[in-house]
Amino acid sequence: MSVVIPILLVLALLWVLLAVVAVQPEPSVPNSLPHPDIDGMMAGSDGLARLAEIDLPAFSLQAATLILVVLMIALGVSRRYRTLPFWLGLAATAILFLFVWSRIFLGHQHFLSTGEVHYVLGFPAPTAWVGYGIWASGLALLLLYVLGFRKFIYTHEDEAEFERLVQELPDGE
Amino acid sequence: MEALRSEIILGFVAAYLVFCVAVGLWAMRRTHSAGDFFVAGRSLGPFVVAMAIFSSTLSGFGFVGGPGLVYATGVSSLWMVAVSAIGYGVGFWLVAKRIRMVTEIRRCLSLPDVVAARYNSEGARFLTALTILLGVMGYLATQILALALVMQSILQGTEVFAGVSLVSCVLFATAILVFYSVTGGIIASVYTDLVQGAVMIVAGLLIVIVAANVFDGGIEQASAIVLADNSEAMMPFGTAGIIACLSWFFIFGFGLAGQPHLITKMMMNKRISDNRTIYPMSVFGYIMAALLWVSVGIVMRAVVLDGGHDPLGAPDAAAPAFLSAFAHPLLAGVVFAALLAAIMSTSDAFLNIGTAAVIHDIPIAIRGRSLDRELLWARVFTIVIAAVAAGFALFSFYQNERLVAILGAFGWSTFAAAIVPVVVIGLNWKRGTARGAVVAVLASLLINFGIEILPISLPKDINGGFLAMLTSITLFICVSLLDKRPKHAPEMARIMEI
Repeated sequence: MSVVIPILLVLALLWVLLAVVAVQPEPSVPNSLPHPDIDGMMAGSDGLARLAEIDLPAFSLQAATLILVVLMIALGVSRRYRTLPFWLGLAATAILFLFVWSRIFLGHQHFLSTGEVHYVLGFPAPTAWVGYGIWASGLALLLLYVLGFRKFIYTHEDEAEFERLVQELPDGE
Repeated sequence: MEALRSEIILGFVAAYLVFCVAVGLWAMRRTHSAGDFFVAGRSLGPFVVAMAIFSSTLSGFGFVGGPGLVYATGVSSLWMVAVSAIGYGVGFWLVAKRIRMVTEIRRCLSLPDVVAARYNSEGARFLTALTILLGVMGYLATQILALALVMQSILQGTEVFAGVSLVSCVLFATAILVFYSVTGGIIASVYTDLVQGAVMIVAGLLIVIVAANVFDGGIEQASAIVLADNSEAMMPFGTAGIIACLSWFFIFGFGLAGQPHLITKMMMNKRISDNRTIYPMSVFGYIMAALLWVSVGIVMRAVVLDGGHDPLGAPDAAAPAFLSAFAHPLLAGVVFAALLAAIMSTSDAFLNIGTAAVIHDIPIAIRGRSLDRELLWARVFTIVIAAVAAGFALFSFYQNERLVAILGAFGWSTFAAAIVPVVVIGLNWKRGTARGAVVAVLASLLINFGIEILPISLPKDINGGFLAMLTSITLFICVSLLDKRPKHAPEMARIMEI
């Protein structure tokens, strides 16, 4: 099956989730307000209230986006190289993406309900997951690319085939 | 040394500008054809390409606007920058290999050349070129204005140039930019990018060290001050809220691979196998340089909240204020040079792709062939485009603030929404058709312009660029599936099998 079909399904899911977000009642508080004391700064309003109506659709929206990233990556690999090791590597990356996202979202929910803060490398834990976690999960894609370059990105056979194509150019360039 | 702060900063900036001029003169001797001017003869090594890719991505927005956003809205904008590693991933997995193949087999000079080769469609070429030209004018105007404002602030700190006008700074900044872009084309651009990127990495690293030492408790203490004042500002979605942040993740994650000034660099490497090293080097460079974005913004917000600094006149003053208050004059000199580097490395890339659109792509789309004496016209139109963008910048500053804001905001999202389906997906999906590509680009233009010009605001802070991109990708796939199966030229079919 072409990977475009699952991509289309995830796009449809994104549209549905976006519509669900859009039609939710407006939160009882504005998202943010000018800082009461300092011009030029904004302050966020009540975190629980502004998430109340959209928490689950928003969580699902991002989860669907991350699945879309992974499917798009699969689209970039020729069908004949979408082997079991490739899919396993990509599945591990997808799990890492979703794990990081769940730590961000659930960590924030935990803070909103308890007020507890733990710092990780200078930032409150959920924010640290944004900074370090998203970067790290992007590096998983990088690692897969570098390690799999000659296995499913640009094999020696691909290189030879491209060289043949170049040699066949009319003026022999 | 503190008494000579302004002169030291000016010295670093002057040395950097002299370097740019020298590179322009050196590159002029290596630029013999339009192919050299636009794609450096496809002869660049991996390190040069990697530095050019990341330094073109991180514009003045990253060094000035980024810290300003963190100062104003808390950590919301972290979502724009943290997603870069995934964004580069999308670019390298889906674009880098095939765009380089098409470039060599079809001898492409520009991204619209690649689009025309892929779809065998002059309509798709024309619309891609038009989108690039529109986006470039806005982006370039904002960059030239930022460049001039930074220069003015540096010069006004000295006794000799205290009264320098903005117009003079625009003229001077544009002249330097045009000089090396005209004489050396993309060769000058990528080799200045090489040094610009190195300066940005060094500046990013040093600034983080300084920022971590502003408070005794380091960044954690700064975070705690911000959190104590307003917890949402320091929590993962900042003051902008969850939907705005997720919209940015989408636009900056997928959209990075749709930025023409970035993926055009993927056409220039000597060997396709070099992508294996270019990708990690680009990501590493970007992350190092982007550290400045986050650390400066949080520390300045904390310092102001803590009473250690007067409130800033404008959020964009966060980085300059930080440098004045906490950075050693030598470091401030390096960082100001890095700031100019960030702006100029993006600007020269825009100049190059905008010129290609005008003298190469649009004429081919309309009359079937490029302008005669392409290299000469490339140089002429580099000057013309820079002059028009500088005019836009000045007109916007003095007469109509909305103009450049509209065009600037239009840039990233429109590139992303137009180019991601047509190039990023299209190069990897044989079923994609020219009609699908044309519809996707038109949808991108209409939605992005419509949302900027008309009084439309989307509910729940959904970003217009997100909507445009989701629409264009969906339309591209659906229209292509409903269309007749395309017939590819034999060599294109073989490329898409590799």
